[in-house]
Amino acid sequence: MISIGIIFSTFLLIFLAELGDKTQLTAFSLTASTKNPLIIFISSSLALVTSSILSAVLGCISSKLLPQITSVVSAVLFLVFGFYLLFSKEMPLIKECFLKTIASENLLLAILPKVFKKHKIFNNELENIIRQDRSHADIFRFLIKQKKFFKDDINRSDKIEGLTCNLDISKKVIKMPFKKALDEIIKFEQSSLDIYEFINEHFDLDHHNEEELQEILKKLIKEENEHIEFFNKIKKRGNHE
Amino acid sequence: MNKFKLFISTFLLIFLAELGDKTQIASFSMAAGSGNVVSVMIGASLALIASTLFAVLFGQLITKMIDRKVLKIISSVLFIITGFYLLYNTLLPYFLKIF
Repeated sequence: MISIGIIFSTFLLIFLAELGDKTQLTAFSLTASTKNPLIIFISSSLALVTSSILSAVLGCISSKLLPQITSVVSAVLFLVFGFYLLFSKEMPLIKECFLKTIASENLLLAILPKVFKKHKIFNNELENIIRQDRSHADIFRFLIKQKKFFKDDINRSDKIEGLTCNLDISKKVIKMPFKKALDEIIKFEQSSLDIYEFINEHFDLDHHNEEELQEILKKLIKEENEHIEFFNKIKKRGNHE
Repeated sequence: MNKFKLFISTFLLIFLAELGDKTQIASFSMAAGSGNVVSVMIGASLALIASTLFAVLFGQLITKMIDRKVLKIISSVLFIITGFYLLYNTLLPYFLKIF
C-alpha cells in the first residue's frame, strides 16, 4: 500500500514548491524574531502536516468551499502578527536579569530555612546568610529603579542573557536529599555570583563613576563567596559523617 | 510571549496560510492521480517538515549575524506585506466585479 516511489516524488514536488514560499518565510521570520525555534518548528510542522492530511484525505474541500474566507482570515492574522511584532517592546536584558535575580533570591530565602530545619542544621551562620540574601534582593530591587541601566550597552551583551538563563532554583530542592539539595543551592549561589561579577566587571571597564554602586557590588561578591564557602564546608562535613 | 501562546499562534498562522495553497492543491491532485493516499500523505508531510526545518535553522543562523531589533522590524514588515498581499489577491476580483 505504501509506495516509496510516490512518497519520494511527492516529497520532491512539495519540498521544491515550498522553498521560499510564504509559509517557509513565515517560519523563518518567526524564528528570527522570537527566541523559541523549537516551538516554532513543532507547531508549524504540525500545522503543515494537518493541512496536508486534510488535503490528501478530504480532497480540497477547504480550497473549494471557503478559499476566500480562509485567505482573508489568514491575511488578517498576518497583519495582526506583523503589527504586534512591530509595536511590541522587548524588555531590556539587564532588566530581565535584575527581575530574575530578585525573584530567585526571594525563592532561595523561602527554601533555605526549610531545607536546613528539615535536616536539623540551623545556626547563627545560616541566619546570617539568610539576612544577607535578603539584602541582595533589596539591592537588586533598588537597581531596577535605576532606569539608566536599561539604556546601557550592557544590554547588547550576549553573556548577560546566558547568565540570566543559568540563574535557576526550584522549590523541588526542599524535597531532595540533603546532599543533592546542597549541590543545587551551591550551584545557584555560584550562578548569582557570576552575575554580580559580570555587572561589577562591566562598571569597571566602562568608567561609569559608580563608585558607591561598585562598593555595594564588591560587598555582594564577598558575601556570596562566603556563602558558597559555608555550604561547601557543610557538604564536606556531611561527607565525613 | 509565553510558549503556549506562541505555539497556538504559529499553528493558526501557518495552518490558515496553507489552506488552499498551491502545496495543498498539489498534494490533493497527487493523491487523486495516484490513488495512494497514504504515500502522498507521508511524502507531503515529510517535505513540509523538512522545509520548516530549513526555515527555522536559517532563521536561527540569521539571528546570530543581524541585530535582533533590526530583524524584528524586517520580519514584522514581511508579515504586514504578506497580509496586504493576501488581502489584495482575494479581494481584487470582487472589486473588479463591482466596478
